Amino acid sequence: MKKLSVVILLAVLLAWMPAAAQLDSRNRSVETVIADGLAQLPAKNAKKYQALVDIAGTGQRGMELLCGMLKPAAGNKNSKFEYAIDGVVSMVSHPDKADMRKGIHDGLVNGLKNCTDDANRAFLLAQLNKIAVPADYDLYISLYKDPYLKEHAAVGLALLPGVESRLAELINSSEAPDAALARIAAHRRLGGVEPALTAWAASADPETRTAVYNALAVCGSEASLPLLKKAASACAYGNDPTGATEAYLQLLESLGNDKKALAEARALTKTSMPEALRCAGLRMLLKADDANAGKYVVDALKDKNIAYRNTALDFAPSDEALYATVASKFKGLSPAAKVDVAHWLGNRHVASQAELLAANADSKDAAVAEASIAALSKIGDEKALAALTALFGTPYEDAAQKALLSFNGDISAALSSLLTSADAKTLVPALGLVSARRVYDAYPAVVRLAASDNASVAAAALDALAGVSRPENFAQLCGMLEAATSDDAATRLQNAAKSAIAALDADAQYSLIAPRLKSAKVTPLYYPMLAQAGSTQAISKLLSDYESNRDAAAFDAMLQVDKPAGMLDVLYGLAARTPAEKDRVLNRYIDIVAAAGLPSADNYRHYSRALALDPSDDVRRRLVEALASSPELPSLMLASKYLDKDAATAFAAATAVKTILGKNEALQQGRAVKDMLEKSREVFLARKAKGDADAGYAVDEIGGMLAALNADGGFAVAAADALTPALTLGDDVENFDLYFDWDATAPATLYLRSMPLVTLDPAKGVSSGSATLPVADGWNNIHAKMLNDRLFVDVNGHGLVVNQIIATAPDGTAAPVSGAIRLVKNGGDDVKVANVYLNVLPDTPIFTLSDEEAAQGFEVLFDGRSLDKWHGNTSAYVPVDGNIYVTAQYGGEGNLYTKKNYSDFIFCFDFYFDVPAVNNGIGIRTGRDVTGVDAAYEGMEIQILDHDDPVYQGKPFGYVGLRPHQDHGGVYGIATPEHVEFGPIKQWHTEEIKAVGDRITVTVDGKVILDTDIRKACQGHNVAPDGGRVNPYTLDHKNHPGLFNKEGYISFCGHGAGVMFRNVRVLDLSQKQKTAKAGRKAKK
Amino acid sequence: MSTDRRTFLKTIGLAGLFTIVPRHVLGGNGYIAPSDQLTKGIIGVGGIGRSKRHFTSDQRCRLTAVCDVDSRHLNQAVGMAKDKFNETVAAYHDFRDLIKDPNVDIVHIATPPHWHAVMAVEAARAGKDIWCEKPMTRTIGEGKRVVEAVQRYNRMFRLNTWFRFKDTFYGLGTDVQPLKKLIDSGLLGWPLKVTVSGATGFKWKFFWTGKENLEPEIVPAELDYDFWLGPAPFKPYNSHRVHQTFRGYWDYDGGGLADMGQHYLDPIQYMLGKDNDLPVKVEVDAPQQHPDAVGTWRKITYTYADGCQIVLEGEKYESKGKVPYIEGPKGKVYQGFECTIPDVMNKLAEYPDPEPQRTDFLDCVRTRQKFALNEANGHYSCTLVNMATVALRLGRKELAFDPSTQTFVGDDAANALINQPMRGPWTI
Repeated sequence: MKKLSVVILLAVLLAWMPAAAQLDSRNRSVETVIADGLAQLPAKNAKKYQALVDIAGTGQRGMELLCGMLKPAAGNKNSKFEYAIDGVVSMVSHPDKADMRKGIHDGLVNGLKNCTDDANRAFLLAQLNKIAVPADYDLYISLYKDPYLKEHAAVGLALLPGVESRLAELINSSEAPDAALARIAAHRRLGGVEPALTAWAASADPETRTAVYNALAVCGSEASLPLLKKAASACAYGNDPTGATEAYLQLLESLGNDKKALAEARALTKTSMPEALRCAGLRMLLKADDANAGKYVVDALKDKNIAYRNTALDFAPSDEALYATVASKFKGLSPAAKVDVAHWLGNRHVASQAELLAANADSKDAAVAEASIAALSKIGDEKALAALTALFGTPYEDAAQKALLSFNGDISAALSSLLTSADAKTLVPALGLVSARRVYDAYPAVVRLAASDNASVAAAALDALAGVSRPENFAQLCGMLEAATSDDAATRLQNAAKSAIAALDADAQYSLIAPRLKSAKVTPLYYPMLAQAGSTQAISKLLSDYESNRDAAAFDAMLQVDKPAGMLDVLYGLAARTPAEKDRVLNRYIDIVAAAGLPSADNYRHYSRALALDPSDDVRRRLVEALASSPELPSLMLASKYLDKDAATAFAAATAVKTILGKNEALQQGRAVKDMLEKSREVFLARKAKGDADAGYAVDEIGGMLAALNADGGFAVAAADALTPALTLGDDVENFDLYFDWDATAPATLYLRSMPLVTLDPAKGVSSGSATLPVADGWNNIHAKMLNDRLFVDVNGHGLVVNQIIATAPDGTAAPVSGAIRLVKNGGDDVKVANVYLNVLPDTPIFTLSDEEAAQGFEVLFDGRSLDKWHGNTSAYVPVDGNIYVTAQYGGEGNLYTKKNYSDFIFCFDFYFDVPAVNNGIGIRTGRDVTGVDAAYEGMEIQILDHDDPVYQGKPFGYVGLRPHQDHGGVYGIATPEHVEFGPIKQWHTEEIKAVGDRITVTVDGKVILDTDIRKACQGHNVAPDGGRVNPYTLDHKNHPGLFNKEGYISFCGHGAGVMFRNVRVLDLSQKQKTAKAGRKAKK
Repeated sequence: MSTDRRTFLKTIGLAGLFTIVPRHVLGGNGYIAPSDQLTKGIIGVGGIGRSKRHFTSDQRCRLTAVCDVDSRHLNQAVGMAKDKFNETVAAYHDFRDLIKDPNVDIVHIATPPHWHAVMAVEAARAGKDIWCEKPMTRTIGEGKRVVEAVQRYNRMFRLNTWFRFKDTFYGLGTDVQPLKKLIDSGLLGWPLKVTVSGATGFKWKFFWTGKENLEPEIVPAELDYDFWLGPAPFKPYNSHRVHQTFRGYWDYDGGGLADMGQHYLDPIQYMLGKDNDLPVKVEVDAPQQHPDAVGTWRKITYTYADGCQIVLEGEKYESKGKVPYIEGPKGKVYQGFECTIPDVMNKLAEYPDPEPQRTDFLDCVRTRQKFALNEANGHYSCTLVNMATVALRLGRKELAFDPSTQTFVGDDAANALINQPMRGPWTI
């Protein structure tokens, strides 16, 4: 019997061998690879794209499984599978992945054949299009006959490589006209189908004729020309819906310099033809018969139709001889044609015809003159320059000046020489250009002209000084400024002096200005220059002049300073001290803050202090809008205060609220946030009603946030009385999230859970442990959070402490689990806080043993708060709400191990699947290694798996899905458990793993699902007797060298985020046995 | 209005009128004779087609026809024309009828992008001038075909984004002319890297994404959904696919990138003097895309043969700190024309202004001079957009591109997305 059973067993095993060969390098079956992969899709980053590589590695079988997972769209969600299929197919469509393509292709073909839902078939067909091979031809043809898929298959047939002759054959053998096939022929530019298409052209159906004409245009030869011509002429070469005219033209054009084709093209240019056709015909002639281009162009220029004339010019070859020919006929052209030619010569920068254009720059015909002037500017020739400057003083002066501003060449010498003219009509525009184009050499001449008796010349020269002055001219300009007799002249000279030194750095500018500040009389003349310099000294000079004499000019100058770093605090101070000018100053301040490019969290500080000054509605709205650039709780709370204001401010506030919450999902909780979202939605709904498309998206987005929002808990505003001597926010708080603004002249200490964990020092910065961050003058924003054993502290948005375990207080004693939140002054000076928002998070539920388990000697391994009995990956395993939550938020790799060793034990815990298909495992009797130990082989892994998720089903293809030994609760690869029906996810389940010698017992939700002897399960062969890699005695046919380990660590072996554990405890049976033995010995 | 009137307008009208007074005198609000008035018809009057900027009718150009496959939108547009302009406009369900209408000189295409090419080609064939909303086309192949058709009949074409000649971008804080002048001056050196990001003022419309797992819904009675889909593959109706939110689906558009990208990329092509050039490489860093619903991306980098680069920085929100908009070996320019070259404005003034651009489309229609942003350079800047969408959709980190053939190098699947066959009976 025994022998027979072994034979049967071996036969079964041999039948499984191909399956075993399909395990990947990490010993995962196809189903596991796909499930693991799906859990990671859509791939968010390069690392996650590995999931697609893994799925692609499952080849045909995997693709078949995935296709089978698609369900009819109504009521089902397919996106995971669509991501997987599309991702894998797209990946293997890459030229480097040709080796993986066949398996995926074959799987996709089978998947498509087995799929019954139309929309899913269309989807799979579109996927196949990316990697289809000629052999798929018959499949496409069969799908082409399916009414729903016909057009989808036609798209595929238009793309399918290597089937040209079979398609041509199909078209030629199909007597009945087929519009879709004609379109396919057109798309592929198929050869050898002209006769069939020609026959089909007789079809009475306009859709077919459209497709056929379109196809003949690209698949046809000269032989099709009469047919298309006939069709085109039948609609008088108009825009017939069948596109006959277009097809005719396309085919005609493709024939090139063919005598007959040229004759037909020429016929199209007759004046009796529609304009567009004439243009098309002329274009063909010019392209195909460029030897005669000159004649075509000259003839066309006589035409009355402007589009026709310009077609000749647009498509004429670039040819100097042609330009000369056209120029020789220019005189005889109509004014309208002259305009066309002038534009043309300019567009093409034909320097050789500058003279012709120059001669026409002063044409009596304004349009000809303007076109010539514009063309001269583009050409930029010397003759052009002379012609343009000659227009000064004529009605075309403006056009000429404009042309010279963009003149394609150096105009400085020509302009300088004009300054010797005695004629004001020449001098004024010349001065303007000299300045605009910075002809510095002209400085002496401009100074001379500034003293001109002619008022308009003098004014133009004073203006021009700004464009021609340099630092060496500064002293002279200051002299002129101080001697100026009119405000007008003074303003012009101030601009000149500013411009002269603008290139110097701030301090150099100031050092030139400072010696001029000799008296209260002349000093104000230099305010614009001080503002431009913007150096620290310049700013303080302006500030002190303003403070001492309330000088409006000094005040105005400060608003001109363009240096954010120096001005943020100056402007804030001015706004605070000058109520009458508050708005003007704050408008400037907002610009300067934005220009300062500060880290986003720092912006809150700047905007909030400005809002506190209570500015006008307009400024307030700008500030509220600006809060969106700081996606933190303080900005959110501040912005939400403006949702009830006027419509424009409310819109700014709603936008800020939506933007901040969109940027920072962690803030999406609590009643206050729910209220502000609802108000914001109302604001956007009102905008949507007015036809604002973006508001529609905003309403959707807010709707999504509201649907996902938990209105319980959240932040509350805490009273922020003065610190006398301490601010106490709670006496006995365990978990919390706290924000506050802080401004002080003396240090203070922030006690969290009664521990002095953070020091706030205006001089030294904010510190915690060995970490310190600097602080700004005035208000700073502090964020502190404690959750279980973890601490987080941010200063103005910069992380000071992140996910750090606080096991001991600074004095070395054990950290208390709860305590007071207090800000305590370290001296008598002023310490202020404001905008204190506290979110008291629920106390962590503490797990304690039942009396019964306590009596048995169980030990709690995780009480809900801390991982102090664990070792390893404490950054990905985080205590949250009394559970161990597996997250990817803080990085961290590897497993979480007990600190102690266990041989025989009872390990109990509860588990919870938070995301579908999640996979973990309990490693037992393994070693411990930071890089991770593969517990299934270096010990044992008791599977933790949401095994009922659809991603693990493979039934449509006759596969069993997961191997039975991969089910939850199995000893992976060794022993198969009874299948547990978990029901929906997001429920707690209990589990007990008992290990005594070789006997492993697993109990889930009170039911024993596995009770096995691991030695018997593999008949003692944990490794292959022949030393090979394939072990016929284990269920996964792998070697399990660590299976019979006597002892080792217990671990959580995570595959991915989204599983939770709680109530983790262990009973060490070996310890108990030892104690019992010792007890017996003692009795003896 | 007949074709004869158009001929009159373009010949006698110009020769007669414009030789008497300079043309600029006629601009603005001056009196315009009815014979000199152009007319336009708008296809697609749901969103942008009914916006203040586009739903216009004035002395220079009168609105004479509207078209939509949603009868509710169509009726609203007809009512609006009556209320706003006291115009009784022709209302069409089929765009081909609007194009055929002899009372329409200019066809304004304001539909979702998957229709642009079909309509532009049809309008060109009919001898109409074209105003087309961005993005120009949904694929590179469609763009080539539009260029071919527009040039075959030598029509005037305006691709509607305007930052290359006016306005600051959404947050750049400067218009393009001084930037163009700075680049042309050589003061920044060469090659240049242009970065479009939150830090340089741009806001990618990342919320213009599609939804997965769409439930099939009943098509509303007012909508001809099959016609709305047109050349796009048939998929069961869901209201999120159409009207405003169409932007989130690859079949019709391509999210914030495709819908807004040309606004940002076109001025850069212009500034870099690359109106006739295309990158040789596109690199994409993005999360995996859904095959139907458009998602977001992190970074897209274009590289030209001469080493110039355009970087689209898509980190969801404004990156911290300052990032130069343009960076060259000799200097950098930030948002608001803040430049590392000292006294840059004075230095720049020594150089000529950029060549003036033709920016009055109606004037272009009359003078038959190409509009500043036309089918040719519009196709090039749209090709940048469409190169990136191909890489995104196929999950390619990098695609090499051959500007001379406008195809990807050695990637058949990518090239298949250049010429995407249309659903019948549509074809171009």
